[in-house]
Amino acid sequence: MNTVVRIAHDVTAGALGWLHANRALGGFEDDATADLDDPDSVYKPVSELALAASLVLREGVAGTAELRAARELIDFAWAQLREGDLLYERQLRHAMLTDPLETYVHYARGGLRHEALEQLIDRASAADSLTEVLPNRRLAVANAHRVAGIRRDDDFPAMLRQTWLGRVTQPWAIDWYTAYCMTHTVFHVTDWSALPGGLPPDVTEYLGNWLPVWCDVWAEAGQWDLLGELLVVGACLPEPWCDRAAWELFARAQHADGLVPRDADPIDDDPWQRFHDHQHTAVVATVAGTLTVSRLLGGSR
Amino acid sequence: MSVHTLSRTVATPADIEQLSALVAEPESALTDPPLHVPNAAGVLLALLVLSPGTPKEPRK
Amino acid sequence: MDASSCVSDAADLAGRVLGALRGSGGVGLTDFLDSCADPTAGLGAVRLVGADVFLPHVVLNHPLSPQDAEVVAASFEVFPPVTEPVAPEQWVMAWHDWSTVTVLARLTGDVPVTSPADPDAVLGPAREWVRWSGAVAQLSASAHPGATGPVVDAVAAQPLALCRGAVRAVLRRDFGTAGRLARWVALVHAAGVRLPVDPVLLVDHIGPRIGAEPRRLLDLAVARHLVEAA
Repeated sequence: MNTVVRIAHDVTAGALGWLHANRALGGFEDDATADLDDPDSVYKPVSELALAASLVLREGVAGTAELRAARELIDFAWAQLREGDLLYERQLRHAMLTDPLETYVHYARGGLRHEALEQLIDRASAADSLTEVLPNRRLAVANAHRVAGIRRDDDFPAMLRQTWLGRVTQPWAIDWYTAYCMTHTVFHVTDWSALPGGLPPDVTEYLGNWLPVWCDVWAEAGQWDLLGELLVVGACLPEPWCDRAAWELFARAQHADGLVPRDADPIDDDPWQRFHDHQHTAVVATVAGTLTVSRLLGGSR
Repeated sequence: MSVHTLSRTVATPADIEQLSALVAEPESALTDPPLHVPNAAGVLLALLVLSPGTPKEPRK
Repeated sequence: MDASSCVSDAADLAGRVLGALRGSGGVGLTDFLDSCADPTAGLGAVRLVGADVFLPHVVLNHPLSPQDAEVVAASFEVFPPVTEPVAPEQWVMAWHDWSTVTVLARLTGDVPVTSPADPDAVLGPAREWVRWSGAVAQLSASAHPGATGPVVDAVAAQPLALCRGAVRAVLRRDFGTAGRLARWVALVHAAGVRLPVDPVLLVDHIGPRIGAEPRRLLDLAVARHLVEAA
């Protein structure tokens, strides 16, 4: 158990350090407007930076340097969003989009609030103005409301049963895409391990049975990003599954500078491309390591 | 060919080892793991099926 | 002995077993041996297919002809079994052979042979389920209707490790291994052990993906027979 804590801590420190050191590469090139030409290129990554940083701050198990790095990251990302004004303008312009809230929630979790945006979302919630969403994304929206404290009448257990995971089907009936749907289902129904009870006993047993298999298969295929997400799932269980062998495989993939490669493909030499290709995986590694350390150090929920 | 004739010709140790290797067949090497398949995404196919065809130039 | 001749002979032999299972008479081991270009490779193939050569007798109760029994006996004379297994492959061979001679003894009314002691030596600890299930797959000829013994007991005691191995093989698209493990899943299910997967659905998934190689088709046929009999 202590060995896994050490491994997970080291991976986190490396990944968080890499995100922090390279954060300038993740900013908007010029003033971004509500329409966002290419949401995947900056907006989504900036949101993911905030996710990682907010969880490091929430768990409070990191060292001083890491906590400071997390604080600086979330402040940097918030500044990119003009302290939330960009999200507000985006929500005003595109009333049915859920990404302003889903992005905002990480800042709110980290203590950075935008009152006008919250009021806007609260009004939409009261009117039940919600677009059509995939089941696992429906859970993401529900959890975002929950964490931001915006009231909704959401039935989490029922929403879970609408997902692939909630059907508890044959464990080989999964592929790369479905696996990511599954991981996200767990993230949102448990609020990133804060509420492990969000997983009913049959789902918990199912994950306990098959996480080791999925980890083995995708690690063998060099799919480090997905392996990291599976490790996050393990940390979200009521009895956390934080397997030493799986963590060692994940740690071995990490570079000396903290970069964790997304997969087995060659890594781009261009610093901007390199950062954008592997930023998501560093976020995943930070979250996986942080939640693992926290759960193993006896963070009983 | 009669079995009785053969029963006196014992295989070499190398042959026996080879046979053991065949019995203890290892799993296949990983050649076809479950990776991301961009063109197989359901949403993309649905869009292709539902979108109208490109309008043609009218014949002059 | 040319290994590839042995393998192609084994494929041919598996095809004959499949035919016999579908009701086209006996396997005809003497005919089979006569058809082999190299009889040594042919006898090696008999040892390789192992207990599976007896499937029509086990499943359909065909009597075993003295000629067929002689061919199997000859395969043990030409390829003497290792008396003291040490390397992992030798342990696999020892248990694979034990399965063959046990079924042979049952069919001829001979005295049963003592098993090679503790199955731990061949399987390893079940918590190391990748290695464990790999060994179980190599011993697939031991997963047949009516099978008993230490390996069968050891496998039946670890349904999760077994199913993890099977699921992993399916996801890796190693349908050869998956088919071999499906025999075990079906056998353990038929023994009344509760499994974390649906054996019928597993066999249905593997079936169309296992390819056309006769030994694999034979594994599938055994698995199917066992799930349908349950």
